[in-house]
Amino acid sequence: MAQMENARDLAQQRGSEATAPLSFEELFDDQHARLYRAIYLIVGNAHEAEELMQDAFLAVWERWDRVAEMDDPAGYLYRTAFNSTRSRFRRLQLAAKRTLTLGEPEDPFAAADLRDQVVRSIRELPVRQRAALVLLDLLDLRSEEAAEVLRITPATVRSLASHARATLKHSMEAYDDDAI
Amino acid sequence: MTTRSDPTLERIARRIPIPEPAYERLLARRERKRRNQRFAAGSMAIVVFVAAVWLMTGDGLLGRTHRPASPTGNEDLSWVTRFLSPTDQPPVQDLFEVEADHAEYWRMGALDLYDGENWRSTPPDATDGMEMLSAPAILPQPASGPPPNSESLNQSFRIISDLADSGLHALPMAQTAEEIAGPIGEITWDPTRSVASVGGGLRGGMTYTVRSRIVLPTPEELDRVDHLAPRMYGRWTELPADLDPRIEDIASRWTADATSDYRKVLAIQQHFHSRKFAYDMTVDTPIDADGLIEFLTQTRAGFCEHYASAMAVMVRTLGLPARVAVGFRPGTLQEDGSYLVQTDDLYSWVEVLFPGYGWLQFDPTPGPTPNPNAQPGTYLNPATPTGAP
Repeated sequence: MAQMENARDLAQQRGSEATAPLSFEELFDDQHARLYRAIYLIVGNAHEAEELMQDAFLAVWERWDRVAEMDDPAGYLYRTAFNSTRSRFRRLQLAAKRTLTLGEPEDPFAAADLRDQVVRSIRELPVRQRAALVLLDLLDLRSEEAAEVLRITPATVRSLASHARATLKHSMEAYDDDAI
Repeated sequence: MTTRSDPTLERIARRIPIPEPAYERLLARRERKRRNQRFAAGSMAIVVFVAAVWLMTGDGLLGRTHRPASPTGNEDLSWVTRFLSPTDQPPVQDLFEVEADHAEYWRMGALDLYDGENWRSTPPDATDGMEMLSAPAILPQPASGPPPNSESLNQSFRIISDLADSGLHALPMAQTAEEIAGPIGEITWDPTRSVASVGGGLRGGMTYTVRSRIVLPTPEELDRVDHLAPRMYGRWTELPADLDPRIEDIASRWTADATSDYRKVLAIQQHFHSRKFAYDMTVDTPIDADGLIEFLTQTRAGFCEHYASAMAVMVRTLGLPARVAVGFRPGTLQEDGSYLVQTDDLYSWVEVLFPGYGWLQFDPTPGPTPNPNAQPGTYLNPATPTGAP
């Protein structure tokens, strides 16, 4: 089961080198695109996503001496990015809400050149579903970790994510059919 | 074996473009955040910042100040009645009372940096000669001694509203303070910007006295002052490298006939006092570089924020040391002879450094109240101004 994986497995899965000490620049190179996209999928706004991504890296940079020694610096980065105690997730939720209530935002998803149906299906996912899905499936957080971020139980995280997965899978199949 | 990454989501995510160059953008944001943090550090910066926000936006923590009810704005007398008539603005608040032999601007601080967006106060650093003093305190003065044509003014202040929560720490005082006394404890003195601040902020009921030296050189004395090369004044002549060159062009044009540095500065002030410019509290032109151009060439109307900002930038384009001062107009003379200063007395003006005389105030804002030191024949209002219409 996914939830049984320990931090070191996750670190390897995320491509971190366990041997040579990682430099901040390397962590940034490895992870910034992934983190940016994860946040982007939740907030649906390129500007907010970039700032939130940058804030997480800057926070990690400030205490890089300690983070570099960790087994899983990327995991720490993710937790920082979504750390509810630092209100980042609150900001993220607000950003998502703002983008959603705008109706037609700057349409960031269109920039990704995705077909309408997929775009719509992501956008139409409730924010909590989107967040659960992204945290588990894109950033590979354990459901316990995601639960901490979202302030809900691990079981709820799994349930939200599985609803989201089903919706998305359905849309993607339709998209593939159209594309072919 | 289970891989947890969902291919569907990965597939979507991969198509989201990354803002590039990502690392450079991170460094740029780090730099911006650092600047903001430095800016927020230190009570001094906050004091002047709050004052600046008041002045620059007219949207103060104590309510909207300097805003008339009517958008017509230019009538000479109307500004008084506007504040007396019911409007949508919060009521004017009493801030402090001053007893003094004559009226002055009650100055809090100075903004030393124009960054193309706004005038700001940079936080003091080690080179600024900050000192912690205990009241009563004699403030360190230049070794050259007091300038000629200067006089002492004793002021006695009583703070009415509690201003500490609004972030106000700087003591209002007539420029240039020489001695501060009263039960106010420790004073942080910034000689570079002439700002005295108290740790707990300005509390309701706080009293203090200040002895200031009012420096009023004659026009002829200032005509004889030679300024150093601009770079010798460091920050006081600095401007953004990409400042619109039209501002310098306008400054050169206005001062073309001036026969001394003093007459150049005066010419700019007098030009703003001419009929070409109007006092208008309703103007919301920003004071960034584009806004200043708009103010100088098109709208030609505004209030202290616009006039002081534009003049200080223009004086710097001439290579002369200038800054924006923030504080309060004298206030209302009461029956007991003291001045009552209120939120709508918030004001900004310009200070220009004249070697031998220090930072002298200039007052580009036209109407509605004349500068208390601008009697005919003074350097602020010479009988026969040259280089001005």
